[in-house]
Amino acid sequence: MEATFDRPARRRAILDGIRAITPLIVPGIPFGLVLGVLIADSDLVGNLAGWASSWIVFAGSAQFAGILVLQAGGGVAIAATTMIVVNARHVMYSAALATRYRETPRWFKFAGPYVLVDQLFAVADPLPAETTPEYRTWFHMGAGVFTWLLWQIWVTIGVLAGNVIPADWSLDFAVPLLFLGLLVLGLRNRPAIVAGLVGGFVAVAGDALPSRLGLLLGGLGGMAAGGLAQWLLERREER
Amino acid sequence: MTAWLAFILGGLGTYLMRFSFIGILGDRRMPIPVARALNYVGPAVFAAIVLPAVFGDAGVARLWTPDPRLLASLVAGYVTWRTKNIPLMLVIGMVALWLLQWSGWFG
Repeated sequence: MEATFDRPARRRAILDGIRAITPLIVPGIPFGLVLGVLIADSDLVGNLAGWASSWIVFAGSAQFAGILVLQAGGGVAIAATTMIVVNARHVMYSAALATRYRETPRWFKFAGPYVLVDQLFAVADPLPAETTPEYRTWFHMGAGVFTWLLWQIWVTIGVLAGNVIPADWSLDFAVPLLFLGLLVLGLRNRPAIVAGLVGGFVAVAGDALPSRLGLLLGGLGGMAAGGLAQWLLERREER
Repeated sequence: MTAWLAFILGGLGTYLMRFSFIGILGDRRMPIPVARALNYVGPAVFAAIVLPAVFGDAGVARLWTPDPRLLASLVAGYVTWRTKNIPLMLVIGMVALWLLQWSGWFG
């Protein structure tokens, strides 16, 4: 480490990451608990394998989808493909962060992606352009490892304790609600609004497709529409 | 064994997707149109997660037949827009949902 990024600076970046992501992982608590209950109830998956999916896959909605496929008697290929398609949006997160992570250390390029979940993207993406690679590295790892640890805890409690959350509290709504907030925060300019509208409505139109393909199509379509809108605005300003 | 194998393959695929650009392709210059589109990954993906979850099985028709989830989402969206405060929007959104559900206005 260079003298410019000493231990206190590293500590600060880690704590900033934890602080930034904390409100975002609260809605994941009921989700993790419910996933644990699903694992405990799924005799075709087995408690140990289901529990291990939390650190092998580490992606709530994909774990959920994969377990449901297995429980329905789907084979290895269908279950694995389902999880991969549900998680395909992570390619977009990786691509969006890659330029800014170019100068990060080599170990980070292997470790960072392992903990790159939606919530982490939501806090890492808006960091100011002038943020140093060192700060980005430790911010990302602080937020990511913290999220990872808590996820293991909620799922483990769910597996062991069983159903502790009454279904009529509608706590499943907390996760979409969180993403709604992140969406609104991200609507900073007109291309972003276009991206959101196209992404959202394409996903609704494709909601009946298997493996949440609609989510992938919506993400890709919205992203392309946002880029196109930005290009049109730039062209108009040049005239 | 089936479950273990499925999780290992699914996990490996997931890791490779997360690793893809950060680990391998990031050293290459992105074509300008792609770089432009990548500015909008957040809004595009988050909207694609949120809208189907809020509309539910009704799809776009939900806009004409509002239910507690849609109305609570509108309240929460407004709170976020005005305050930029995620914990607050979560609390108000959930409370709004409970009140609307228990109001008895929605069958």
